[in-house]
Amino acid sequence: MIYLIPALISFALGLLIVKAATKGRLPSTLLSFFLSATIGLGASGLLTFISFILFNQLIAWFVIILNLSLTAALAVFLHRQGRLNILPPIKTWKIDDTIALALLGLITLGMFIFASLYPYGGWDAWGCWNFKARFLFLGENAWTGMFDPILWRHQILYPFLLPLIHVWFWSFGNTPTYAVPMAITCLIPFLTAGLLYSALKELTVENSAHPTEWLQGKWYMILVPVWIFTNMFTIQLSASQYSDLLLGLFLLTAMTLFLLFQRTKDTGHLILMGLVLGMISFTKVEGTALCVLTFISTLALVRTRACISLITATALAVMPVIIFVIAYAPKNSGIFINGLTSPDHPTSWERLSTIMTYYGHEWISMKWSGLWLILTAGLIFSGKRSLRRELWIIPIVLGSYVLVFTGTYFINTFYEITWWLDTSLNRIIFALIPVTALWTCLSIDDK
Amino acid sequence: MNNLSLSAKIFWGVLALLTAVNIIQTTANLASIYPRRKPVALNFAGQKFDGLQKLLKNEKYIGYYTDQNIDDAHPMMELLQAQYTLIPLILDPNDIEHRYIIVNCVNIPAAIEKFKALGARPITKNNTGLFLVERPTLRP
Repeated sequence: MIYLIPALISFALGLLIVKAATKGRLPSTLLSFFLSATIGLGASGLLTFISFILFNQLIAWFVIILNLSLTAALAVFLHRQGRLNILPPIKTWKIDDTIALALLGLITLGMFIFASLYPYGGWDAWGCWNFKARFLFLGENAWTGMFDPILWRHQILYPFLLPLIHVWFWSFGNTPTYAVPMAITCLIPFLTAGLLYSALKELTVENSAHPTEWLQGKWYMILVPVWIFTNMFTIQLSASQYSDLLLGLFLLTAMTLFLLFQRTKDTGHLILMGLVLGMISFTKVEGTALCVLTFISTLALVRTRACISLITATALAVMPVIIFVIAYAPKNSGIFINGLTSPDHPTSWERLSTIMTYYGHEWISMKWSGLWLILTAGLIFSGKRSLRRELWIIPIVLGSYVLVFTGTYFINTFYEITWWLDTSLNRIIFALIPVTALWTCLSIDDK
Repeated sequence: MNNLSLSAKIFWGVLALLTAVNIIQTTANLASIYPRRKPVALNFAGQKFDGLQKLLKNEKYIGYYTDQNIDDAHPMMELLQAQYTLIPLILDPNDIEHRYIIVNCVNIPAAIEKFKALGARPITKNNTGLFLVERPTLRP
């Protein structure tokens, strides 16, 4: 129960950040709740890193005070502006939101049952993410030992926001219990599912319906997260305690905020998007690539003074990853061979052909229960609507990201390609499901 | 839903059907595996290494030896889980020229043979071929 305290602090911090950035013009109650929880979780993780930068180790009381101080400072700031009303706008709450939350709770319960069978998570959980979390928590001033080249099998080049979130929760106890990663691996899909549902409702319906007109809005949007997170394979991946979950959540959050900005022209959404891009960049190496691609795409699409908000917030939020790269990241990860120049491990067209074949197999694989086929069919059904200007950001980011990771598979010949694709491709595309579903459903539902 | 286009109605109809199938399949799956299966925490390979870190508080690196091919899945998993458990100690699987070495063999005789060949003495062991050995001639 002690771990509810950091969860509540993170949520309060996230809510105050959202309120401060959007100048009080919050979206619907449910969307505000999920945005706040997501941003708060990421912000607490980034704040935890400050302890390592300043003191070269985890100082738990400092991290707790830092989180509380920032929360208090934001509360004072909002109070002075007369905007401290903590409660989101309850009047937008509808009975179908209650039903949706209950359904998402049931899905999370199913996920928790599965996760409790594998409390240490999947291979990369103890091989990489929880390994880093334990090093951060137990390593004291030797925590940088986790970047030792001897440990190249543990993905030493990867940034580590998810481990920092675990450490933030562990700071309230005195042991790195496996219950925390196990609970967080269920919390993240819950937030993703809730954010997807509330974003779809927000972006497809006007919030003018009277609260008693229950089931009048686009209640059927709840089908989307329920469909995604009741698939046995997505449950398995969700329970694995991998950072891909967090990547999927942050990418969905960034896209939702951009779509909200286009709708409201409130630059506060771009500020929040910038913060989330910083969080993406510190989640995984793939996240750093996604941050750059999304940032450039957004600048290209907005092209107004509003970009200054995005640039400022992103510059602030990517500081942790810049510090990590300059001060801590090993210069050689030990897992990269440039296949374009290496005479011993050259890349080849056969390699590219294998990659494309695997993409095809994943697309039709029964393990996804037709998920990718249905999403593709939805996009085809919606025709030009899927490529309307308001949605451009999503296909641009997704398309460029697919090119980047395909290029990485092709150029880096350190790993045998079939083994590498077998062990990583499903996780990479898993992180893209929420935002692809958002794109498909916004396309299909537009009249 | 009345104002939806036909293609949208088909899409949502198929989605509803697939969601129902997912729910039935997953519920049946979870119901069938949950009562029978013990949590993996009870047989996490890394647990057999737990406690060794308390014996080696002043060490940063220790050697790790296994008589299996470390690139195979199971030996690799044991190494990674051992490393996970023993943090902040760093296991060096490439080099056994360390004062302390974990000798993790498929059986006890193989482990004894190995550490004798190294001129090491055992500090502690379990009954699965796992020994923590010390080579007094090597200073940290």
